[in-house]
Amino acid sequence: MFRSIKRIIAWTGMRKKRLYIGFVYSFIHTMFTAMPIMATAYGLNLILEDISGKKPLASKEIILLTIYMIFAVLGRFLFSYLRAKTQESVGYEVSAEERTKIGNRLKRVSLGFFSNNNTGELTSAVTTDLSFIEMHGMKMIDTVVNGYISAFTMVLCMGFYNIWIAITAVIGIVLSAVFLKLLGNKSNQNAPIHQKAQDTMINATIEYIRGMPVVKAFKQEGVSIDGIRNAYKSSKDINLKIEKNYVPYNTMHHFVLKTASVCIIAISSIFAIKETMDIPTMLMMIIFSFVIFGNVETINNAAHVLKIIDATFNKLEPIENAEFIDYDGKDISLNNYNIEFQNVTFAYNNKNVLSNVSFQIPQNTTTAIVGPSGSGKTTICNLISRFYDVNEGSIKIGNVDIREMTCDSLLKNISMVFQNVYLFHDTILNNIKFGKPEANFDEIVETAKKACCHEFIMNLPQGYNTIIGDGGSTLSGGEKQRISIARAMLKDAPIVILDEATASIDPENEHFIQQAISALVHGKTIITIAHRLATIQNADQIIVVDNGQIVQRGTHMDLIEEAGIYKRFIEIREKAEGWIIA
Amino acid sequence: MNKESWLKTVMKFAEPCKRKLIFSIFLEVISVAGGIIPYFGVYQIIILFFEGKQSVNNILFWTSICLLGYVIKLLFHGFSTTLSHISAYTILEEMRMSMADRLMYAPLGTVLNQTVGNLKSIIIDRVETIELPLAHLIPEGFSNLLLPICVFIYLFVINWRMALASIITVPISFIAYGFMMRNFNEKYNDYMEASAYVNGVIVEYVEGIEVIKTFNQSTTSYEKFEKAIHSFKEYTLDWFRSTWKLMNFGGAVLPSTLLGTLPIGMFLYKQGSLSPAELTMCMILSLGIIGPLTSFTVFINDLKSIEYAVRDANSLLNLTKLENADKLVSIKEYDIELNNVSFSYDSTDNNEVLSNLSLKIPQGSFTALVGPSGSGKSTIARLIARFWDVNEGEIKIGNTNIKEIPLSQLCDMVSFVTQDNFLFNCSLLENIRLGNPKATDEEVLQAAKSACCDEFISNFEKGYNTSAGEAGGRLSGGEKQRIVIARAILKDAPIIILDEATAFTDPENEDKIQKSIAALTKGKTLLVIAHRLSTIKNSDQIIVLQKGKIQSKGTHEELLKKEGLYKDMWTAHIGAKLWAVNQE
Repeated sequence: MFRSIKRIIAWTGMRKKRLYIGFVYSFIHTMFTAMPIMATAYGLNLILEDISGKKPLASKEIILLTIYMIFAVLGRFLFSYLRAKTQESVGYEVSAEERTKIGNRLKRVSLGFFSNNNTGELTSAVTTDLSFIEMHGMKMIDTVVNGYISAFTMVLCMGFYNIWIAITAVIGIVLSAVFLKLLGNKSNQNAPIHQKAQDTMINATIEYIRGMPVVKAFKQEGVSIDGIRNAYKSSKDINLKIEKNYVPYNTMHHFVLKTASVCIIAISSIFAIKETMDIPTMLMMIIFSFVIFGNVETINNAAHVLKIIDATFNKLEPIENAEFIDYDGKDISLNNYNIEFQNVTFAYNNKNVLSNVSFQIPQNTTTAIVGPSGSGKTTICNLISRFYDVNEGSIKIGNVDIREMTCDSLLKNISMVFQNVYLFHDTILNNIKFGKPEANFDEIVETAKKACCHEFIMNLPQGYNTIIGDGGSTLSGGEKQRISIARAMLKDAPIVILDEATASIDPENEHFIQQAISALVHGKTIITIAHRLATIQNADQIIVVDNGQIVQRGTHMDLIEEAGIYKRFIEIREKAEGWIIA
Repeated sequence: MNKESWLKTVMKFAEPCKRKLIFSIFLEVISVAGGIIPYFGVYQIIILFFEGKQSVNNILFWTSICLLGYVIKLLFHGFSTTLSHISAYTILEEMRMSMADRLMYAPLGTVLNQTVGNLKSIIIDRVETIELPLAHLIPEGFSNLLLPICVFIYLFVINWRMALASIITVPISFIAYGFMMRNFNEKYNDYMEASAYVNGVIVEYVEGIEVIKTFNQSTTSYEKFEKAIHSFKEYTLDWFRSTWKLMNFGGAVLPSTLLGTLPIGMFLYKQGSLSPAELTMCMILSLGIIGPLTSFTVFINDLKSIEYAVRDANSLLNLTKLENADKLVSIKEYDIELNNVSFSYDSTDNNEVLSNLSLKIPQGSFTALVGPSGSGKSTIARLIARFWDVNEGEIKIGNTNIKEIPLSQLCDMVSFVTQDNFLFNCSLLENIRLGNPKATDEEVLQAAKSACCDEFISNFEKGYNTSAGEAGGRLSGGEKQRIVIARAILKDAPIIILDEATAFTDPENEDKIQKSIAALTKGKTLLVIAHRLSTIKNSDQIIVLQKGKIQSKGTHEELLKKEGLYKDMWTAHIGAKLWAVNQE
């Protein structure tokens, strides 16, 4: 638990100083909190003196005490305000920086990082989890650190009058911390159990929702509902078991503190009987005994929150420390765009995806990559754009090993059209402009026209300023694809990598996409994952990949003569493209 | 929005744990009572001193009483929270169950229109946030209200003026809090929105990372991303800054009960209407109400978060159920008929997807639905499978309105094959058998063979006993699709609705899917949502749709003879077939 606090403090980095200043404010704040209690002792003393007839109680004294009390409350207000001002904003400031930092980092890490870390977990770490630290981090600092500061400040005040009582209080605090530590250990043990229960429940829920059409189609509603009921029930049972685990520690934590309070009452009373302590001081001690541990008592509630914060830090750490793929890259501009694979081997999760692949793609030619699914076609494309680094061999563009370049200077030369169209929830204009931020409006319209987008964009009520995904402006898959092609076209990179399957996203409007693609690739070096006969037949070079190796290479005319994968592939394609139902 | 409504929702789910809940409150009351004992004990000690009767024995006796009071307080509090946690988790379980149940019996279309992630986040994450505040609010909220009242009454008995003095800080600080809360709802809403927005932008950023990498040239982040983060921070801090002064003022004044009790107590003593022992007692008691009072500010936040979570939950809890007939209908023919059907997703006339559409599909025939995206092809198919109910008009199968056919019977009649190739996490054998639970292993195998699944399934070490989870990563989209088709083959429903897009889930293995579709559709009443016109040119009837209306219908040859949408689409399609990426 105390380790988690340290972690939060370390997380604030440069702003650590403000936390420490906050601690000082917190100390002063407690002093002002203790002042009324001391004033009470003074007031009671006046009363006792009045009773014993030593000195009658004067109204002036009461007024002075009242002024003093008001002063104490105002001081308390001032310093709690100052503490909040210095400490509480830190969480939000650091989180904002953290988000930007992670954003920049993610741009420069290997794509493997994303496939190794489930994207869902990744996003939840940067959104929900980071928000949690943002909201609770500083509160926890306040609860725990300032809680102890306030208790020890009061101990200091008490120690000023009687050392034994101060020692009693310290023993109470230390013993209670032991139980907090035990509680922390317990919660450590329970964390994976809790997580597993949670994951099971989430998976069951997702399967339940995803499977709903099937369940209904095959009348399995009862079974499915029973399944989810069990999942929810067992999640409840596990959570309750965990919750019950904590009760004894929480109770003991409180019990120790309460016992210490009672001891303070007993000890100060006995001192008073022995007349080593005067009555007003004793009364003050009794009042202190009721308030001194107030802030320490609530610390146990922080244990759970700190546990979650700790787990969140664990999730964020690998993201923050993810390695830049182009760590020592230089900005290099290329003279030509010949692409060369030299003995490239690439393994993913210890499994070879490409082994010893070599080929050349001359500038301004079309290369079609063909092969069964899982053969390594996509990997070849991803390696060219350096989404991953090769394990052995090298990839050169214009005679420069792409590992010597920064990702920015490499990707400046490459446009990709992905199978999964990804557009941002932003205006159409901005989405197209993404390919070239400095482009002016005319240029964008020009490009949109070439990509067969202009017409449907103008039909939208807000034209180019329509926000994609907003109610009413849902674009069809093909329209989205064309916008993504416009984006790539505006970038005007000399190398174009594209998956031909993109064209079948919207079969009714295939020809528009095709027209757009033709405009995009005009005069470029083209690398395409090809499925259509026509494309393959027209290619300058066909690379047939199977099992991570190049099994055939040449033009259609060359390859159709050979017996092999290519010939079989073409036969199947011919049949598939002529398919007719019934 | 109002408090009753969310409280009602929560209480509705508390039914099975009502007793535990009441018992939990009862135990907490005992705990509170125990917590008062130490104050009483201390009072006795003080009296001893003022009366000069103090002795070590007396002191030890009364301090033991104090300790006993604390033991009662803690023990009963422990029991009470355990019970309240049980209650809270039960409420969570009931809520989730009730949502799951609602989803199952809501129109399927409504469910499919939402993302799985969104539904999951409501059912799991949002509901989860209720637990902690609920478990603490139930007993503690009650006792925190009760304790100050008891103490106040006790004080009142001792001296009514002291009672009033002890709560003098309450109105002052509540004025401060009142000012702070003035626009709290509004601000909180804005905050939640801002937070959702910034998180949305981040999710978008991570999901679009390939695009960001490829297109975003500068080393700084995407501008929208940075702006969102920055403005969220500024918004939040602005809000907090505006509340800090008032909040800390309230926080400093509220617990300073001595501010009232000390001066007024001394003044009353001077007047002679309060004894020194009573004065001390009043001051100590007034300290006892600090804790409960300050925790009220925490509870306000808790209440808010419960309210918001419940509001989200209600969006699912209040889904309307699809009506279900319970009497089996005898259906001898499987003609499908749509009479003047109108439909819109939001049940209004403004956004009609289908308007006044009539259509006949004779038994055993092959009908293709054709039209640009958004023309209503898929909607027609979904309405026949009763994903939704029509707004106007009727859909009949074998001359019976489908609303009068029990859903389970309708299921038996219609197989809907879409691109959704979901497999359950059980063996592949069982996944296929789902199509007909009574089928023998032999029949399952036969179906698998017809759907071209046999080959790749046999390649697995455990063959048909491989679980879908184990196989998951190794199955291509097309292979999963074929398993789904095998399931439908086994089901052997007389009506097949097919989204032709299923055929191109896997461009590399199109031929195999095509073969399995042929096996599935043989001899059935077939309705195809068509994308590639050449695929359906042999159909008995082609319905050309445009903007929710039938533009024309007929066979391929008939339609080609007329100028119109179909002919245009056909010409474009033929052109598209011959296209090559690199053609000049």
